[in-house]
Amino acid sequence: MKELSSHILDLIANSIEADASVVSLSVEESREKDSLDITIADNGCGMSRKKLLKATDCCSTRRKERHFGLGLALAKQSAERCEGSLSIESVENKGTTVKLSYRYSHIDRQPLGNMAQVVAIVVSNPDVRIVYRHSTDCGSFLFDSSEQMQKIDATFPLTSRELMAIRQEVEENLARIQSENH
Amino acid sequence: MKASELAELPCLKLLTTDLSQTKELSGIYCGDLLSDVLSCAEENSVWITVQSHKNVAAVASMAKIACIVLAKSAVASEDMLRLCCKEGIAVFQSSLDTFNSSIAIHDFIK
Repeated sequence: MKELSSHILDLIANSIEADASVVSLSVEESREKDSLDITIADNGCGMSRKKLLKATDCCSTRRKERHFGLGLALAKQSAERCEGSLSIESVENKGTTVKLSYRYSHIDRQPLGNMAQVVAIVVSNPDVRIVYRHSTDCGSFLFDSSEQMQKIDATFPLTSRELMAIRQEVEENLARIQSENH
Repeated sequence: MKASELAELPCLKLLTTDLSQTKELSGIYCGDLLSDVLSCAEENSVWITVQSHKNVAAVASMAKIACIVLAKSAVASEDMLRLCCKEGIAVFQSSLDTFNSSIAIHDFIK
C-alpha cells in the first residue's frame, strides 16, 4: 500500500468483520527512538490457536468467496521491509490485538497518510466505537468517538458537516503534537 | 503469443515446470507495489517485478496475471514458486533489469 493508513483501515475492517463493537487504535511516533508503532485491538470474536498460526499467510481468509486474504500478509511484509514486525494476539470470544512496528527513518517506510480520514471512515459506522490515541515526542491526544459524538450532539447517519468537524478535530491535534507531515 | 513462448528469449529462464501456458498475453505491467498491481494490471499480462515474496503469487492469481518475470535475477522463494505452480502461473527469471526486460519482451511479442 502507498500509505500506512491503508493498512490501518484494512485491519480495522477485519475487526469490524469479526463483530467488534470497540476498536482501540494506538499510533506512537518517536523520532528519538526511531520507531513507529501501530496497535489495533478489538473486542471481536477472536481466533482459535490454529487460525492464529496461519493468520498472516496470504492463503488464509475468513471469506468464502475467495481463497486469499492479503490484509495481514501485506501489512506484515510492509513492516518487515522496514526492519519492523507484525505480531498478533488473539483469544476466542474476547478479541484480537495486532501490533505493527516500523523503524521510523527507514527509507522504504511508507508515510503514515491521512489519519483524520481513517477516523472519519470508522466513525461513520454506527456499530463500532473507535478509541484512538496518537503520541509523538511532542505530546499526545485521545479521540473517543462516543465522547465526540456527544460533544457535537450528532446522531447517525452523520452529516458531511459533522464528519468535517471530526476530521478537523483530529487534524488540529495532529498538528499540535507535530505528527509526520504536520 | 502464448506465455510459454517467452522461454525462447535468451534473457529469460523458466523457473516453474510442467505448466501448460495456454493464455494469450495481453501486454506487460511493471510494478513492485503489490496494491498498485492488484488494481492496475490487466488480465493475462506479463508482470515484471523484483519482488519474490509469497504475496506476489497471491496478487498474480487475484489479478489474473498470465506469468511473472523476476527482473535482475531476483531469487524466488520456495513458497512463492509452490503457490504459483498451484495457481497455474509461470514464473521466469530475467537476467536484465525491469526496464530492459520490458523492452526485450515487448519486442518479442510485438
